Amino acid sequence: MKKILLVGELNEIARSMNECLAEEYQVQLCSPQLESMQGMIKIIKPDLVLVCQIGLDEMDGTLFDWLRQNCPKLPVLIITSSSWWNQCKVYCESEQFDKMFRPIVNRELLQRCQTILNGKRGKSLHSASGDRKKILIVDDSPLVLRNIKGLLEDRYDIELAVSGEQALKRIPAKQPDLVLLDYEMPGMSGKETFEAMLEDEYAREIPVIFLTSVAKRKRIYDVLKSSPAGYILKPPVKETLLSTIEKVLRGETDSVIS
Amino acid sequence: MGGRKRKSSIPVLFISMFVCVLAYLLLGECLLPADDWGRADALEEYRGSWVRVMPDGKRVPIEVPGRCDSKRGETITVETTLPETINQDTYFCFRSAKQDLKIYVDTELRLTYSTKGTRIFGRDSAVANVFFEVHSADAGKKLRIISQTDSSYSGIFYTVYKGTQTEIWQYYFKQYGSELIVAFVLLILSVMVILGSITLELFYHRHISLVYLGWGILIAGIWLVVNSVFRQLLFPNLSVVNDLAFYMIMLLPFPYLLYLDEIQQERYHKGYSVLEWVAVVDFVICTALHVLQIRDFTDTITYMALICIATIGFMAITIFIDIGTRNIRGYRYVAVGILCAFVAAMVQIIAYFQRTSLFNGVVFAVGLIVLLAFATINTIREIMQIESEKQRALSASESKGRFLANMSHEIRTPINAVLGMDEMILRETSEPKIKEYALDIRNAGQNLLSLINDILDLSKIESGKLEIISLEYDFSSLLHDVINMVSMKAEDKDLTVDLKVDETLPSRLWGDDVRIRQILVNLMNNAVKYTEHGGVTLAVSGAKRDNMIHLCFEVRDTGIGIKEEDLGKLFQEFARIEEERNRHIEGTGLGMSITTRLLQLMGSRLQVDSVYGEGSVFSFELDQQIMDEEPIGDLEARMRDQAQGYTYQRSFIAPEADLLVVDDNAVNRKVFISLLKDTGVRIDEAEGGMVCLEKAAMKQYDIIFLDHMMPDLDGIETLHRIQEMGESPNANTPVIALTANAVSGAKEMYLAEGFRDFISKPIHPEKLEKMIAEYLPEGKIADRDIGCLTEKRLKQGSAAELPETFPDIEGVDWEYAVFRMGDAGILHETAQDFYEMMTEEAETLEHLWNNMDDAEGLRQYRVKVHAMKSSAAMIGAMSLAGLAKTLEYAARDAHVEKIDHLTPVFLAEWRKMWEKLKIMFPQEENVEAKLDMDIMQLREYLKLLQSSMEDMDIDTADEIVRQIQRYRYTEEQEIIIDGLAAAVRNIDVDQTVILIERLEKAIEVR
Repeated sequence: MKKILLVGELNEIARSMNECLAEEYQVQLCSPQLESMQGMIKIIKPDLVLVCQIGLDEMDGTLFDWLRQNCPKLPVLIITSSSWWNQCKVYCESEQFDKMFRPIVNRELLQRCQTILNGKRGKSLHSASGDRKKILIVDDSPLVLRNIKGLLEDRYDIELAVSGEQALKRIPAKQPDLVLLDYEMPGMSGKETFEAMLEDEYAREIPVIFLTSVAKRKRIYDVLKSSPAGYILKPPVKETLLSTIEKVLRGETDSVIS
Repeated sequence: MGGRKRKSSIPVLFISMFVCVLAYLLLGECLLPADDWGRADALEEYRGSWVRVMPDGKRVPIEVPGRCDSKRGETITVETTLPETINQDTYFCFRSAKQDLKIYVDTELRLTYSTKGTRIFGRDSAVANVFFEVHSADAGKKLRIISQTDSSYSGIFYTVYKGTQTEIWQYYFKQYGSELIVAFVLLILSVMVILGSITLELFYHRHISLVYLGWGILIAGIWLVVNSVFRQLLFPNLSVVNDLAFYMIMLLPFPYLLYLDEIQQERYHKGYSVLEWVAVVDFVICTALHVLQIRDFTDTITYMALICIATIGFMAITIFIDIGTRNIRGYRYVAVGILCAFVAAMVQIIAYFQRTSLFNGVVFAVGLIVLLAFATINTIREIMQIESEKQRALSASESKGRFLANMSHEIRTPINAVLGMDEMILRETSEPKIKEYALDIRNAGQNLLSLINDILDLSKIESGKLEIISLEYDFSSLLHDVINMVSMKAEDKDLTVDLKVDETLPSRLWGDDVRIRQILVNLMNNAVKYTEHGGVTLAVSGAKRDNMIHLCFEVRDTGIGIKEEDLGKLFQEFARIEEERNRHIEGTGLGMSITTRLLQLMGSRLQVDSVYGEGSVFSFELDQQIMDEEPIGDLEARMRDQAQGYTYQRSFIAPEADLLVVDDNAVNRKVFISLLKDTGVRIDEAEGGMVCLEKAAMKQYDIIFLDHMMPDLDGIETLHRIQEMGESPNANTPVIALTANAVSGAKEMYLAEGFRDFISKPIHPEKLEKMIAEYLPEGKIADRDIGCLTEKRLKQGSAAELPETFPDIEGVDWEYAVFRMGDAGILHETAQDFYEMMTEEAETLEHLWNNMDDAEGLRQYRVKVHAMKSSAAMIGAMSLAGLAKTLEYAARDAHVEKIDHLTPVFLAEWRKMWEKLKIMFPQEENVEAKLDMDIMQLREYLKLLQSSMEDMDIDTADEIVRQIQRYRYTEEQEIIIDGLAAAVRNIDVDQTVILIERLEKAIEVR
């Protein structure tokens, strides 16, 4: 679902706009301060910024200036009066900005948003997320989670879980293509988690690579005994991690894991 | 064979019932008396006496049926007296033995039979049963028949029948009906056999001999039909039908000769050929004689018969010889059938020559049916053999596939163990000799690995199971990997490796980069293998076509080359060229095979040009879809950027250069200066815009580095003021922006403001140097020597200097950590995460240590110290990790005194490490002024924070925490927020939720 950031005073008009748009889009409210808007844009990365100038007579062009300079590709729709527009349109002189004058019919607003959002072809640096594989990393150490996420997030979509139980809950929700599973976890161990996955009709099809920090022969044999798709010693070497993951995702569990 | 195996009694019952009914039929019809349904009376022969009327008028009694002396062509008159009473509807039936007949009652000509007007060949009329009606008025009169024929049948008189037509035909049907039915059966069977054989031939693409036998039976069937007494009912023109009988006899030998010859695997082919050609000649001559009316078929039939006998005789001889030499085994069923047919045929031929008795071909027909049955059984057996062979081949191939799949799993486990153990040896040992051995094992193991993968790949390709899986990939990474993988071996042999890539090629493409890599590495490795001096070059160029790029890859080497006649061998599996000479070169010979097949799968082809003794060029072309048009640019430089664990080499010195760095953060300035330590540049510092302006007014700098975000005068303002300064010495100095977060569009923005360029923080030393090198005036730079980096140097760990963002910290082996992690940027982030978590970790451990009363407490302590060991190891703090390991083992073995003794030591070291790491992560006082709290906004943030933590979206959560920290809070709130930040760092969802609740209450009170 596309995201709209609704910037403005939380008055009746804003609320009704929110309600109307929430049917089709994810709407997030934001107070009309520059810092708040900056923060929100960073956090939720909206596809459209809807600025409701109604009730904000003292609003000047700083917000738009900042938008123009920092997010020139982000479309902005301003709901305002014609008098304000005449004053401040100099700040909004670019293709990025669009306006609608009061009074606003919510349906028209929805249509305009649809036009803007459907017409916009976002140049994605990555291919549509449907093509990226998703990896679920399960480890009780947040350091390890962040570390491996950092190594992998360029190539893959990453989901996290801090425990076996959480992992089992997230697998049907997030449908990962691969699971990196810490072998040694308190509570539900990696082995137990893996066995639980095998019991589940959906989860058993997902390949699992064990992460183990115990570099001892017996441990390695135990890890291998459950027949996972592979195993990696912690701390992981980036190259090994990437190539093992790649091999497993290609279904080449027949080839030997290096 | 057949359906279910359930034992039912129904089939048996059914068969018994059928047999009983059959028995009833046979016995009943044979034993019970016949019924009278008004059947016509049994036919009688005409018993009257016949006399021959000689030419002189004398009357001589003769026997009818019988034969009287006569010459060919002689007219013979016979006479009889009709009985006193003649009933209604009485007919006489005379069989004309190829004779023209004239029938008189007294002097009245009643009937003429002759085919003179209706035939085209032959001199005589066809054999026919002539029907002649007598009336009651003819009683007592004289019946005279004048017969004439030019054949050897002259003077022959067959039995004369008297009765109604119905009686006569009924009689004939009783006598010869079976023969006709059998003839039709033969016809039907033969057509079925012929059609069936043709179908089988089409299905199995094999010649089925049975088809000849089908033709043979067809001919025999036709022969029977055209010889039958009923022919005159079936065919209007009797002459044609009559001739047909002879044609059939002439054609008869061919199919049988052909069939048997094939069955006997052409052992006696010469004899069969002779007979076949004789039969052809006979056909031609007899037909000619008959057509030209020189000799009728009836005369030449002797020769036809002779040929048939010769055929049968020859076939019999060959069969007997085969019995003797045991060759009969190949077709013994057919042989039995043939024997039966022989017997039947001989019987038939003899009967034929006894002209008095009528022809009855049933015996022969039955013999043929028997033969057909056996031959069909034989053919079916052969077909079944073919099927089972096919099955065997299929299952053999299947089991080969399964074998390989199983074997690969079997092989995988021990090899995993070998490489895994080897990895552990490498980690645990510090002895260089052992390390060397372990590295050798790793090499050998990896060779083995690639060998097995080659074999598996090849078998996968062969069984059609290998797929080209396309996804988006980074083109320059691909080339970089290839070069890296080959560089090591090349350097060992002192060969150069060159990369010549068109800079305008797009950076991200859509395709199967793993396979392309495999192909290129294979070709490059081969090139290295077979080159002794000089080097190897990978050249890549391309032409854009819409959204596709047509790439041309070339691997050139200055190696030993390939002779033209050997080029074909290149692509054979396992074949090596010039085995003698190249014996010392290792490899399986599978690589080329796999490469060519992979290229085939991708719609491409490998081309080879080679000059023996000088070198070779292997090339191929490939189309890939473009995903990002941005050109890859100077690959060599970018390769260094993306290098795994980089080695920093001094690229230039510039002792005459003057630089000004402006940043309000002292540590940043310090880092900047130490980054450029080796270059010898002179660097001045300024803590803010104002100081910068002062210094810029006094001294001319070669480059000014200006931080963007500074309190009071920010970077942009400062820049403008410098540029507005009248005769400033730095009016034309390039000013480069330093910025922490580069948002999209930043570069344009800075350039618009007047900056010459910008560099983002944290600063990549390479980038910084490149930039300085770019903007420094030529004269001030010396000794430009951009070192190239190779994995080998990294492996040797030869005085690799890490960038100064990794300061020298005692107890932390950055090189080791970077080498393992493979990414210095990530390592830095991880180290920062680690640093931020260290304090709580220590507190938690201390807490657990103090509450370690029972087994459960001990376990929790152990889990915690294990985790701390792992994280310390991750950033290279090896001694710390070692200490943690000792404590972990102590906990495992429940050595409480040891734990009590060592834990405080460990914690002290841990905290010391934290202090040491502090310099890496200076507490950046928030550059921005704290904002006034906006309750509504904060509430929104907290809502978002909770939902993103619950969704485990830590990137968003981290960002929200950052945003929240921009505001001013009361002390009480500040404590909660610190806790919140820690909870998010620790990815502790429950704690986060609790603290959010607490914070919401805390802000409400305000």
